[in-house]
Amino acid sequence: MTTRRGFLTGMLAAGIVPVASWADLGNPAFLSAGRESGNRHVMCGLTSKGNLLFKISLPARGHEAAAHPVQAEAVAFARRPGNFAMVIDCTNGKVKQILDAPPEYHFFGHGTFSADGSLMFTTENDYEAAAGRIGIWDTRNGYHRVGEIGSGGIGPHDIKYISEQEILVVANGGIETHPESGRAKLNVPMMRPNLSYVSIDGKIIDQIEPAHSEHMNSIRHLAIRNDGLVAFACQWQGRVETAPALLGTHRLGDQKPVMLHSNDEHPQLLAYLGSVSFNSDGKLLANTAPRGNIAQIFDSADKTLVSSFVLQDICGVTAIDEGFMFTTGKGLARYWTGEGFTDVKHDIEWDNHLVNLNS
Amino acid sequence: MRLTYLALMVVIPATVFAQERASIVNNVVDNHILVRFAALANAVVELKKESEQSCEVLGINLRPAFNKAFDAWISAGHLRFGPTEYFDRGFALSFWPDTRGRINRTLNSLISELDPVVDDPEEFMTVSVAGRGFFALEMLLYDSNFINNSESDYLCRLIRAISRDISSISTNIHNDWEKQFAHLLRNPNPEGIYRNEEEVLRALFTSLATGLEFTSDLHLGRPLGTIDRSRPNRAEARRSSRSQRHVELSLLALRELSFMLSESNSDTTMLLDSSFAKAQASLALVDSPDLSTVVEPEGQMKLQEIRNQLEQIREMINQVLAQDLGIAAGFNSLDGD
Repeated sequence: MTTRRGFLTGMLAAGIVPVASWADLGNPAFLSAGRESGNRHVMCGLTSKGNLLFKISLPARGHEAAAHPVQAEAVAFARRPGNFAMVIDCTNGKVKQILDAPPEYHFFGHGTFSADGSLMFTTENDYEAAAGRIGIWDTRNGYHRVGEIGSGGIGPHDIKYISEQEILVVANGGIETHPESGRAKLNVPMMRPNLSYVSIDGKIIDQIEPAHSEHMNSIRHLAIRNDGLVAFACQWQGRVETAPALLGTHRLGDQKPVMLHSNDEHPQLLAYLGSVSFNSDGKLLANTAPRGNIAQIFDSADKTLVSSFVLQDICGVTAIDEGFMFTTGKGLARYWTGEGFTDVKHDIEWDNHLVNLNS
Repeated sequence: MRLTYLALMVVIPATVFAQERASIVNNVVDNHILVRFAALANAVVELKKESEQSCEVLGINLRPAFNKAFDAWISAGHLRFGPTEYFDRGFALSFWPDTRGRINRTLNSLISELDPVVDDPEEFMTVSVAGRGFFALEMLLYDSNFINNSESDYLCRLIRAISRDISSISTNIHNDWEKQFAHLLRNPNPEGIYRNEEEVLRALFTSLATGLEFTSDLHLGRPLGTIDRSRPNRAEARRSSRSQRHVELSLLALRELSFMLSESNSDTTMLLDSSFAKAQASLALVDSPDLSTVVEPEGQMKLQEIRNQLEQIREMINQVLAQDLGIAAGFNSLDGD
């Protein structure tokens, strides 16, 4: 019997490759970068239950990957300050193309695609000018850089595409860095993070920033609900014990964000959130705190804390069914629903972010 | 080298016992932290006094007093937690790097408006941190644009205001350490800022780690620039020719802290201490107070060599010392990802 995989391999050999889709790979639900023993870095596909489906070697530690919405293709970004990204054919693990950041720019480790996958957007640092940029890449015939626009702030990190309005939302973390100084922060006393909505032609459509007293609340990671509600997760740069609320939601046009504060549990976050995600129907909003080793799930309507649990080095989170999949640096993939959870243990330390291939 | 300390980690699965933890914390608090902030508090009183007696930049006493106080701050500057963080005191004492020329701009704006804020210590605390602290004072005492106008009455008031402000911030840091924060470190409790000794050790370890990062990536990294283009103008405190001295003082402080933190494992102590000694020996060969020799290939190579040595120490403390102390960081806890 010709298996699908065998069939694909045969076609690869014959050089008549149709564009493979995620379905051809057995429908992985998630992608995550990770580290295996021996310090080997990999990009993995996981099933909806958290089992390993495939594994691809990476030359260095990855950060986030952006998954093409249609083709079985992902772009893996090096951790900042990385100046390359790899387009990976997920059907065979081969690197199809290496994308370089322009001279005197580097990538920040996040990127996103337009709804049809024809364009990719990458957050970048024009570090001599300390200006955040968004690189625009045409993906249709190999990846070509076709332009760039301002991100609306310093240190853009996560970026998402809002399909309905065809605009981008960017978390400008506000922190100036320069690759000659590694990952050191250069402007903490003066930092001004913001959340910017940017049109593809570079107009800042809307922008909110924390009050001056909270200007050290670096906005880093984002999640989008189907109706356009944006959730953002922050990393506080001031004294840990004075950290304000770290999780917020905002809708384009609203004057102020709504901040979600977990009251009694707030100190356990240690002022630092790693990832954020809505569940599939958008009723729940989860965040992870890898320093505090805790995950929290909020009701996104009334902003109350619904559930939380402690798990070592937890960071990745994304939607699955009614609940969430979480990953940890200790190798766990936790499938969580309101009723309970199941864990799958891997010999891979899961890196910061879990990428959802179904949303 | 890498093999040596990796091997060491495997052989000794050491985690310190509670008693040892307490002893490490007490030693660091008494003989590292309190000593350094007491020295700072003493030095800034002299600075304030000298500025009040004479704000003549080229007089015999003001610059030496400034240098002594700055030495004391740099020797404590890696301890950026607790009282140093209250009210942004650390930033107010030490606004560097100044990537956008804000110090110059802030000082010029005060001067051109003859802003009376300099005459009121309370009000002066509302001035941008770029116009306060050691780096603003350095600019006034050493930059030719300012020295040439140093007879102006306003400049004199500004020098006094900054010196007074430095003195008051530093005294407050010292008092808070003595009266409150030392106790919090020695007596962690579930309701406190530090809930247990592990968290205390982590805070002390973080001072060492971020101090190393600062010296490697900023003190050295900024003037080093890239191999094709060094950046002598980015050296810290180059106007007062203190750049190399800052690296020296930082290494002295960090070496002492690493020595105390590794108390429970003599192999780790030896490994770290000898590595610091090597970096210090390399630095002694530099002989460029403002690090301007970074523009020459040889000077650049020497600084790069020190940076490499510090990067090795960073790796060692993360792999070995953190293990010893039982506080190894998670894969996902690294800052800013």
